[in-house]
Amino acid sequence: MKRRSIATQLMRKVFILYCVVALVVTSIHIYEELKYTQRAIENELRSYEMIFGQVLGKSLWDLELEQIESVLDAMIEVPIIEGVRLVDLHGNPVSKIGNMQTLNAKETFSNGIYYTFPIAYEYLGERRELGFATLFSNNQVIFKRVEIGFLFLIVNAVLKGIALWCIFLFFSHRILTKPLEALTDSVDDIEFDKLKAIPAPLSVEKHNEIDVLKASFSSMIDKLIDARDKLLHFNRELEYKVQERTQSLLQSKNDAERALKFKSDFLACMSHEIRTPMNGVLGMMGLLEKSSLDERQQHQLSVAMSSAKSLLAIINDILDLSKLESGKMELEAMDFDLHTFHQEVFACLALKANKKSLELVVNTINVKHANVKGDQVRLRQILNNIIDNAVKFTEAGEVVVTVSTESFGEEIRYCCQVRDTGIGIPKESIDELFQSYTQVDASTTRKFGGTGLGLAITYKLANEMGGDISVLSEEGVGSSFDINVKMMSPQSDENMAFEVDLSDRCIVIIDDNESSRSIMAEHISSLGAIVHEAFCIEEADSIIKTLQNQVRSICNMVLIKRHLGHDDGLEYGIQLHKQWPDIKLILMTSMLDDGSELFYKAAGFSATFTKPIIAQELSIVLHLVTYGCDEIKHLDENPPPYSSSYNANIPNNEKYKILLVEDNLINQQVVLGLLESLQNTEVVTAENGREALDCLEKSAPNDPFHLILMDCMMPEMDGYEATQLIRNGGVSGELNHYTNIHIIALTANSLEGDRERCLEVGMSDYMSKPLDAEILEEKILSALKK
Amino acid sequence: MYYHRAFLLLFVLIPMICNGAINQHEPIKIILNNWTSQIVLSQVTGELLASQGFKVEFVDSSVSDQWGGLAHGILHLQMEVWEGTMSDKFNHMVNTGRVVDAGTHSAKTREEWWYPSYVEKVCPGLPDWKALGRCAALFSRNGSQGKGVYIAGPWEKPDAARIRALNLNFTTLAVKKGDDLWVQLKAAVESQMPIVLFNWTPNWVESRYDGKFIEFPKYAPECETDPAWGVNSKFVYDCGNPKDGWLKKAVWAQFEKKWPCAFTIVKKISLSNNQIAEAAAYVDVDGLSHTEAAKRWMLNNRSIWQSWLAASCTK
Repeated sequence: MKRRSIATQLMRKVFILYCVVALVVTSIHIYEELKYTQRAIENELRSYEMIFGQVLGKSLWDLELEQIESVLDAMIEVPIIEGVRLVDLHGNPVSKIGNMQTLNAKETFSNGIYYTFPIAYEYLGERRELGFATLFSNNQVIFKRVEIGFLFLIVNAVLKGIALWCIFLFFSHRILTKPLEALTDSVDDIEFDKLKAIPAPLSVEKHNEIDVLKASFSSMIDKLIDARDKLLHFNRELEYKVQERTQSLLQSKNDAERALKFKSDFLACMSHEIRTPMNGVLGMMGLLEKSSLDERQQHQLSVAMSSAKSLLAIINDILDLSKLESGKMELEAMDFDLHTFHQEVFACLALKANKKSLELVVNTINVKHANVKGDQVRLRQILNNIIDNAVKFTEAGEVVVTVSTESFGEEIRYCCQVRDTGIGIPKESIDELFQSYTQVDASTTRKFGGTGLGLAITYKLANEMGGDISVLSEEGVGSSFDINVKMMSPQSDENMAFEVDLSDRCIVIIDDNESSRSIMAEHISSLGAIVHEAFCIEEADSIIKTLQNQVRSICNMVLIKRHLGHDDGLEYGIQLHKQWPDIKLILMTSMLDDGSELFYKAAGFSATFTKPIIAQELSIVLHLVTYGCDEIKHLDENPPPYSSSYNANIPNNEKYKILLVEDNLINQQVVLGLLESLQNTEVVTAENGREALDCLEKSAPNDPFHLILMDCMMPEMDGYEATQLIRNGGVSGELNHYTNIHIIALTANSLEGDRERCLEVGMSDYMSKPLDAEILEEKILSALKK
Repeated sequence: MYYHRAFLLLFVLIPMICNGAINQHEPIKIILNNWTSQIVLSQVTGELLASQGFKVEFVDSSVSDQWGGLAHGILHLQMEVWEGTMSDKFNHMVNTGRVVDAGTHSAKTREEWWYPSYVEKVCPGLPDWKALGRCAALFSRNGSQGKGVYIAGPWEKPDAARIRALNLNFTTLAVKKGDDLWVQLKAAVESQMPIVLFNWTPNWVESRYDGKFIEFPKYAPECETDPAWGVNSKFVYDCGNPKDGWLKKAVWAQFEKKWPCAFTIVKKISLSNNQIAEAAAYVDVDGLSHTEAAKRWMLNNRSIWQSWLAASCTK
């Protein structure tokens, strides 16, 4: 940092003050000069009344405008006159000359000076006033007159300032700066480590403040030497203590890290050790369920299965929470179809709701993205948990789920509001709602069950996904959970938005649930249709009859909910079809309805769908019913939920051979039991990787294996090593024809990195134990189709 | 109800009555100039207006100041506006809307250089102006250094400019009063001395002396503004005054509104050359005062002025 001398600072302040004073004095002087000049010019203007008044009077008497203008021309030649204005007695302008701004100066007097005098003519011995002349001057005239004087004043002030500066600078340098520089040079030479090397105190020549300062400085150096010695001693002691503490802390850190590693290993081990027997228990109970049991045994088995599933859910929750709390939860980033995702999630939850006579209403009108990139498993977990809770804590009414997406550059914000009409949450409990092992009160646990981990996991998951969950609730009225998480734009977005045009169509919706009805109405209106809503058959009947009797507006389509309180929508639909066969009917059923497509078709319904339906699927249904199948472009890629179910059989009726590599005999039995339901399959078992390689090597070329189910943790050769060898074609190329075989890993580990490790060594897919029969079947079928 | 109507009637009538009274009592100021016919005929007009109940006041004014007086409403009526000498000012004032043209007399006017007939004997070629140029020396007088002398009236005229433009070896001698012209003429006639002087028609002179106007190049408006026009391409005024000029009456712009009946009378007044000359002769020849001359003129021309009143409005 540049050093500034005291003299310079002093000079600067004095000079600035001097400049201010000089500026004020000069300004006052200039102002007075200006005022004086202004008065002088005013007096001069008055004198021109005598010169021009008479001739102007005669000209105005004769109304000789040309003559008046000649006089004004002469007047404007006077240096101080910038403009002249002549008006008659009534103020009407007669003539004017000069700069227009100057002439307007009368209105803004501060800009100029003016003088007005009457114009008169003596006739028949009488002086007769004919008008008024105003002579204008302006500040420019004044400035011109005083500019030399001003210049002199300013030069004078500047010269005085410069002289003062030079004189002050000279003396301040001599008296102040020079001795002080000598002192500071001495100070600069001082080094803390060489304090004793300083020679005798600085010389003292005169007795002013600076000399006193020098003496004090010498004394201070002596004191510093003492202080330095003490400080050095203290530093050495401190350094020793710090080393001692550092060692201790390092030890603690290593201990903590070891403990953390033990904890992770323990969790992995526990996960594996608990899941393996659980897999066995659940698998065996699944097999037992398919055997012939009497009613009592079936009941006991179902209780045992329910308990085992609950235990597994608790284990999974604890594991999830443990991962989240240790920050080791890894999220997937895969593209997935949002519409299919919603169908799957809401269909499952709707069933639960319907069983409690609740209606799950879904609003996906504002879902603007067909595909997103993110972790759909975790998003499903969040939605399942919140909506499941809403259903669980609601005894009557509805659960309304409103979903929307919005883009922010590459980021997509996924928002979901879940509103229920349940028991609500007391205010004092809302803050603790998302804490682990917390429920509203003990009675809640007794009545509704649960570990209290669900909301904590959900909350932490939402945070992990770059989002948040908030809640508003009123006890006895209901709750509203707002979830928002961050998704990314998909790498490829092949699902183009399907555009449906229902312009000029008239559609009637009959639904006793107001939320559901208004959401559907809003969506259908947005497609261009004219929508009429009815909450019961009586109202609907009145609307439809009115429409049918009108000339211009005819009802084209009616959406009927099957269960309308005490009314039966199905019966009304049949009646409607008989009366107006041209009206197309769509039946909205619940998850608990079991009518067949053929039955509904025979009854006159063009289509049926199960509530809740997402907006995008509703569009397709309406379009199909309105225009027929040919108009749908993407229908094949996204079959609607009411279409026929998928074929669960092995394709082409070929025979397929599966190699199951599993060391645990119970698990072998479980998987074999699960695979029994698959037709045309032959399963060969191997107890470890070595045996698996042998089986593959010995397999006949005309009877090869099509799929391998590979356990990971096995004695002799584990699944990872075996997979790597298979992918490399065996030890010496004997398995070259199996390098591309589909390998599904089966592992009891569900900790972080398991899945990645499996995929890294070359496995095609991954399943965590205990195995889910449906998922396993789906994965096997998918692999065999390829 | 009747009270209300009476009250309203009072409000309507009072201003009307007051207005009439004010107009009736405010004098009509008639301009008197410094030549005889104008003064006598102005007094005749004053008598006529007074006979109709108007208050009349005569105001002496120079010709140059009278226009401002009329324009500013200080003077109200001028009975003789001569084209030759006043057309510029008159037209200017009428164009500004401050003075109103109150009609034209039947008389035709001319103002020009004039000489008695006997001068033709010594200066052949007259009345052509070129002859005047040739015999300029005949009109010289003591002190004129051989140049012919033109006797001009007291009114401002462009005679000097004409002399220069037509290259006449003349100089002008302006008399102080209009009557002095006739003194000069009488003296010249008595001694048969060549004289050329300012004269006009209608004037009493033509009834008592035989003479003619000099015929200068014919007048055109460009003559006064465009030097290239006429016989001399370097100067303006290389022409004579207009012949057969009009003689108009002029009033203040508010005259008609203020005294509508008087305006009708003034508009009706129309005098011939003889009638004007007669009025002037009563003073300049017979020696009557202006007032006496006016009375005699009215006595001798009763039928004429009665016709002006007959068609006029009544009080």
